[in-house]
Amino acid sequence: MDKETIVKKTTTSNIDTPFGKELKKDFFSADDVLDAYFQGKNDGIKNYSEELLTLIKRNVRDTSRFTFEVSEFLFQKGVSPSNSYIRLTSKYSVDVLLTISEDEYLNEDFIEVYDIVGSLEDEYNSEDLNIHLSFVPKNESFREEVILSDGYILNTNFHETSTRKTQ
Amino acid sequence: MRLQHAKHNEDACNAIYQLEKYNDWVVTTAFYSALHYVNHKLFPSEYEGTQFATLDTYYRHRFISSNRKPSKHWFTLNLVKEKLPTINASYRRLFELSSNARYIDYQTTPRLMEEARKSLIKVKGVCGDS
Repeated sequence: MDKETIVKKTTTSNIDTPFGKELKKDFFSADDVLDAYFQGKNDGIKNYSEELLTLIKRNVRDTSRFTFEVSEFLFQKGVSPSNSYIRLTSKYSVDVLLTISEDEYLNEDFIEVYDIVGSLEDEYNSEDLNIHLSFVPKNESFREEVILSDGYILNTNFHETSTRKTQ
Repeated sequence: MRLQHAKHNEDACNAIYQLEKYNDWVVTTAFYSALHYVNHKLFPSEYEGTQFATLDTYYRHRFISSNRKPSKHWFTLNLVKEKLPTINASYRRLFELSSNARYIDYQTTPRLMEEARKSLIKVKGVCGDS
């Protein structure tokens, strides 16, 4: 029996059965099953990619808002962060670096910033997002290229007030 | 054992400090001393109704089948924030001085080194058995 006949026989309802009843049209050929599998796989990949992109965009947006709130608080306290750097360590986890001068970092009043940062992290963190912020006390040995090579891809220069994707 | 390890690292920190030329290593050993001090303070203890002997066993319990687990360092930082708030800033400072030293080419200044030692003293004051 050729393939076409097999396909026709198994997908139409005109098959004779020992019981004399018609078969319903719910039998599929091997090709139908394979087609359905690959279609489902492609749809699944497409859906996953779209969901992943949506999640990452949302997490980057929320991290930027978080970073802005922290830096606003710092400016109000008389501390001037110079740059922020953001790194995605996974789709759910983001590291933020804020650079400030060593003098400001070592100022006694700066200690209370950690409680505020901690509270803001608690506010923004969720099942889908974990933000971790740390400070870098800049001195003349500061090496931005090391930060960039560690995967920090978004850089905001507070003096220029612009955000750019690191080249 | 954790307490012993904390003191061991603290001794290393003090020895390196005396050499007066390895500021970055003073910071690193100070952090790893503090890490064991907080582990000693936080465990064994009961979390979520279950007794856990170490941070490792608690971490594994929390995230064994999760694809969203934080690093163990951040997990510890969050535990310190929650359970030991009086040393949250000190411990966090030690972590960032140690892990971010690479961004200042490991040229840790004497002032930053002294800050790390000061932070360790605060952590030890809360977590070390006197």
